[in-house]
Amino acid sequence: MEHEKAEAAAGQLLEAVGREAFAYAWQLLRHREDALDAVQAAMVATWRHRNRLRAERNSRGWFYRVLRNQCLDRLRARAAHPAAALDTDLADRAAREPIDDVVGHESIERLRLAFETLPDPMREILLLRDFHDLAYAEIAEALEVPVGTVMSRLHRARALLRERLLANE
Amino acid sequence: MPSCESIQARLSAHLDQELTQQEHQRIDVHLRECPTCRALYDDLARQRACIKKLPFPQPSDQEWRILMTKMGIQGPRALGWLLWIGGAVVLAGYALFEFATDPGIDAVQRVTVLAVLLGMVLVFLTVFGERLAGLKHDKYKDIEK
Ligand SMILES: [Zn+2]
Repeated sequence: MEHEKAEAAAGQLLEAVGREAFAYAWQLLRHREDALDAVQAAMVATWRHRNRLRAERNSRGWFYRVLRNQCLDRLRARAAHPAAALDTDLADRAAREPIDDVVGHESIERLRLAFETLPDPMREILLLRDFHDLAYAEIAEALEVPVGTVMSRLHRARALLRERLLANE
Repeated sequence: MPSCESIQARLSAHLDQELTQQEHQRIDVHLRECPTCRALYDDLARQRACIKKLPFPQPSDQEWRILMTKMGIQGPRALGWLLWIGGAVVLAGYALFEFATDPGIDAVQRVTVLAVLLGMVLVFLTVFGERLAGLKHDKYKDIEK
């Protein structure tokens, strides 16, 4: 019975989070195949961990932490053996999938350019909060930092993003 | 009235609903009275809504199907192999025992057939050993469903 509950909980988590989490892995790795590979490895690890998963304070934060470590492993391996060309930024994607309304597109395009200029840790935390909708406690779990750090880093990231947007006006 | 500086440091956390109720109220009161902080708050809220719409890549349906297949298929397949090999070994052992103890078969015939079978088993075991060694390097081998 406990076993079935654990399986159901892990299955739900993977269904809800797995596919969406690809964007995060891609943001860290900038490479589609590597990102897919990292997501798969994180899902496998979560499945193996399923019997203990419900004891975790927040399983979604736990999943992102596992995924992040998978990505960092791949970045380290890449540093040792530089190989494939990376996807440069969101530009290709934006060009392929134009956003319908013109006004929205213009402001999102400006934001995209400013977002790309942010330091990695700031892009990462903004993505986790604003795109993936993680709570501070979940982000703290994912990044292995205190909640206070999440709060102050987000504050600085948003302030810097705004500065860059205003500078480009 | 609290300083604008102390309010502005909290606006980001206010947007995320991550402050205590008391702090939320304190900031709401200030925002009603201070156009400067209000403008900054609205800016940050717009910015936040836009990030949600950034065109981050998603896996294609096909990429996702392949990944899910890789995740799910290995458990049932491993169990299938185990049942198949286990059953075959028991069956072969039983047949061999019957053959070796059947008094109606002469000794030369018996030794020849057993030699052929032993050779087959040895070949099978070495091939199987190689497969097993290969499997050890597959990090997803023991995912079960
Ligand atoms: Zn103010």
